[in-house]
Amino acid sequence: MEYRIIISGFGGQGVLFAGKVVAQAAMLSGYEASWLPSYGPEMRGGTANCQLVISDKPVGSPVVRTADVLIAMNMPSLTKFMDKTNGIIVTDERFAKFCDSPAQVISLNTDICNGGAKFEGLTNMIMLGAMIAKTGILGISEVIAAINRIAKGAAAAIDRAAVEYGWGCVGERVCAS
Amino acid sequence: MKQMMKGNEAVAAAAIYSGVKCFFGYPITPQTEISAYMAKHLPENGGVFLQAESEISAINMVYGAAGAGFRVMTSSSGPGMSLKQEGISFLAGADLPCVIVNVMRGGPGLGGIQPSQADYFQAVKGGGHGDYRLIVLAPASVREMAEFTVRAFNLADKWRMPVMILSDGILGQMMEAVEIDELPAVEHYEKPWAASGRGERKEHNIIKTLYLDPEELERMVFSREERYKEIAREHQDWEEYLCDDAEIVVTAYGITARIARAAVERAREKGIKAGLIRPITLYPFPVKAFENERRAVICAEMSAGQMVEDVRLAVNGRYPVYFYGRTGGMLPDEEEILNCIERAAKGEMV
Repeated sequence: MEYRIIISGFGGQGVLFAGKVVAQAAMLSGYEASWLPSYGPEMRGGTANCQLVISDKPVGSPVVRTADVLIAMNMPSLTKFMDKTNGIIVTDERFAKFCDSPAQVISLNTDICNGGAKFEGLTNMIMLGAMIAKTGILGISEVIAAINRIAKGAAAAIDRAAVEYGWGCVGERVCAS
Repeated sequence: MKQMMKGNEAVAAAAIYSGVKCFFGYPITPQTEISAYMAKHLPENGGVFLQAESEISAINMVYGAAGAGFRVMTSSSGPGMSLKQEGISFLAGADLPCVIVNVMRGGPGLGGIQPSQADYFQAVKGGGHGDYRLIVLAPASVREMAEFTVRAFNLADKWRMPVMILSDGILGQMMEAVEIDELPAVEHYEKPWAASGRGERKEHNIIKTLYLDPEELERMVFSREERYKEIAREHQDWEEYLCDDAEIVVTAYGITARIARAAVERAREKGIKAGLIRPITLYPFPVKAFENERRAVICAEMSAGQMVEDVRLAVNGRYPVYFYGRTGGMLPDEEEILNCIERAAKGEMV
């Protein structure tokens, strides 16, 4: 089993943090995992991304050329990475309609639907919740445990709630290959 | 406890575990997390962290602390490493132990900040003046970033010389799980040569690099050369993967070796007898790894071709040595390395 993930969005949307949660949860699940951030001018503003590899054997290249999953938190990220994704794209419904990709698109209303507004600024956690619900690569309990390890107090509580909300947004489940 | 750490953080944490007492640095991407970690954690562990006014100051502070017998480290990248070269030559000339970390980025000049392996010559052949060598270790994972840091401090003190960890932007920036509590043992060496106060000694210990008498200087240089030869006999280190029956061997170090390993696996799936030799010590270069006969070796690097020269020296014309490289911050491609292996297997590689 090897899963390659790209998480991308604007600087400040929690791209790197979402990736750290995934990597930490993968480690807690007994997988090998690598997390590779973009560290160029992106981190000083503009789009940022991180690349994750989750595997049941030692990770070879930590660089993701073709992703099994893309979490795209803004339109430029979707445009940049959708052609490099063979699998599942998780994005906002505002961007999804422009998505021209053979990948399966999970379109979420991350801002307003069903009380989503209380998770404003937590697009990263909502999309992460939806991603694990859809792919089954990580259990929600491991993701919650990962959040508890790397976030503190009130921030951790709201992150957990947003992940659970995202998880709930995705009905149908498919198993990880 | 297993924890996710950046390679840069792992280096710093392992240095503190190794008993580093002084860290002198100056920020530069992509190695700044080493300084940041040290600034936060070294003082609370009884050490001194100092952000110098430049890389030149930092390396000369290393000279002072090493001369006084303390375990000391500095780190930099690209242009910062170039600035340190004069100081590194002085450290080597004064036989001072220290650990220097280079998290390589693209060059020359300011170059870029993306990962590179184009400082191989500078690290291995001596970027400063004079006859000297550094022991150079090349980690390929965050775990090795930590382990090799401990090894570097042990080797530096054992051989009384600077040891360099030659890393790159990916290894520095990426996170992987590391057991920071399960690192190799820290070795302790007496330093009767240190300029740490005269104490009970009859003579002053003087740390210097100036020898105006050519006979004396030659004697110093030759005795150091003897030490380098001993190191080359004792410390060549490398990792082999699927090499027992390999006809086409890819050789690569650091992060490139991980990409090459994936290409070797795919070549095996296609029925090509491919293997991987990953040099772990770049100085001393693992010449012994290339003793077996092969059909060809492909050297893959993130440079325009630097380690390939040492591979050619090791192979010494017994079979062809080919080169594949990307540089400037571009990464070697698994597909392209596989393509090289296939062409080498068909005898089409040039």
